[in-house]
Amino acid sequence: MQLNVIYPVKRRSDISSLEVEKGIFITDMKAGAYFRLNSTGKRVWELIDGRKSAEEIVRLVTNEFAVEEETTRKEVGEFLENMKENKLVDFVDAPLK
Amino acid sequence: MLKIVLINPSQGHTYLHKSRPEDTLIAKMHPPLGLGYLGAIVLEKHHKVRIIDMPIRRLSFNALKSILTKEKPDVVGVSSFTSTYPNALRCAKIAKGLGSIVIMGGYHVSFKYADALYTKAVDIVVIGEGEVTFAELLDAIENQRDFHKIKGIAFLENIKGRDIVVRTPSRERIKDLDSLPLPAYQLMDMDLYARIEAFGIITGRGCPYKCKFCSSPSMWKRKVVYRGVDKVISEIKYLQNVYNYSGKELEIFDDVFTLSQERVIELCKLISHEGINLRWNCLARVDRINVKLIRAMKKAGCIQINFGIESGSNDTLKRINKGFTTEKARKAVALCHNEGLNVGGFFIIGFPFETTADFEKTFTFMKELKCEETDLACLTPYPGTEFYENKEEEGIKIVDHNLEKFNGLFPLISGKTFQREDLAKYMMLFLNEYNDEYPG
Repeated sequence: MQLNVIYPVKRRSDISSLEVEKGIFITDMKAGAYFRLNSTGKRVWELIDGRKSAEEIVRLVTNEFAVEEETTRKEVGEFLENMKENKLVDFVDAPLK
Repeated sequence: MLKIVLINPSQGHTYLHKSRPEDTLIAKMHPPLGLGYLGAIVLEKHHKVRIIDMPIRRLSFNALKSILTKEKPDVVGVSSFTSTYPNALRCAKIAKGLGSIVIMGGYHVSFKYADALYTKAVDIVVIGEGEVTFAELLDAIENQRDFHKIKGIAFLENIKGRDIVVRTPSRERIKDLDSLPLPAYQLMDMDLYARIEAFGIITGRGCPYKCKFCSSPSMWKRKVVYRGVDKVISEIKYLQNVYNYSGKELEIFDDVFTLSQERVIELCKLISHEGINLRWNCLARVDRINVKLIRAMKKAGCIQINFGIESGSNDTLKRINKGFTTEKARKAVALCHNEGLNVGGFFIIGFPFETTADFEKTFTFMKELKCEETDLACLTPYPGTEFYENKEEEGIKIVDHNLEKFNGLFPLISGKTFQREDLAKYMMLFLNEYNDEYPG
């Protein structure tokens, strides 16, 4: 996934979620699928607010978890790719200002 | 002689965890015994038959089409549960397009036969128990006789330019199950089921109870018919010896295996006497179990008894016609644990009159019982159940009609005091606490 996109990432609005001790559960009732995200996945999910770009999310996660930026870039990239493939997130069709 | 292909379609695409669908699906794969019985009957009638179990083979629809194109069967029989019905229809359309006569059977179409027929992909629906009906149908097809005198079927008839559903009188239940041959295991990929220890048998058909969420009362008319214990032992020995299945796990699929204590004890004695070496589990009721029975079952290799406990609320248990209380369930589970048997506890939330406080009660009870295996389902109004047939009066609003999701895993309804999202929340809570197997 190209992370140097300037488009913000947004969640689908009809997804149910539940915070649990070690992360978050999300339910896509339309598709009929449950997903469990670990604590990092949960943080990324929280950061997907329709305003931040993937690049910005990588920067924030790198700072918060004190990890290598390249590692974060790869993992967040895979995560978003998976989320997009499952139609849980999409990119807002307008560049950030 | 007719050429026949029998197809078990795959489940729809609904998963506990979408990135590892195989884990969810494999756990539910067993040899399709219903088709095995039909296959055996067909062989007895000297027709040529093949069974295709799509899930165990992970067979695509394109691959199915290739097989059917090559085989050119005269008749294709397709089984259907509610969650497999959309895929059963896809199979039917492929077969119909290739010129076969398509017969569909199983729980779903036994109640929704008109829907299947009006798709025009299905020529005939077999309603209820299928073996005798299917054999008579094949005779009629082979000898080009009309179907009106065959009991237990439905088909379309064009009268004055309109397609009318003809439903013949109901077929009587088979009184002597021992008159049926053993399932045609030789037609199934038994090595694949052996690999995942998924063998199972049926020792009797039907259930006398009338739980409102279950379609068994409508399907079997609350009558239980048993096979003779000798026949059951023969089948178990056959499976153990022919497929090198010794020491592995066997599931007894009866609705309530322990209904007749004397029969179960006799069967257990025979299992021990014959030196059968299998670990087995069964489905029972908490009010149909006692120490004597448990000890006999354990001695014969039983490792787990599964109970449909359903709820932690006595009010709910009463209103769904369960016929026992939480106290009875508590005692039965303790009894099994004291005797060293594992317990599977199966629960349901989302009965239309329930509140989230009732869901909480069920969760609390679930935790208290400490079953070795715990399963939770959302109430799913399957055709044929009282909850489906009387959904308006019961206060059930089906908000998702995608039949592929009719498998208990996903909330499909709202009730009088809860929304679908409430059910989703409790399902997620359950998965978080009881299902650690899939990745985060």
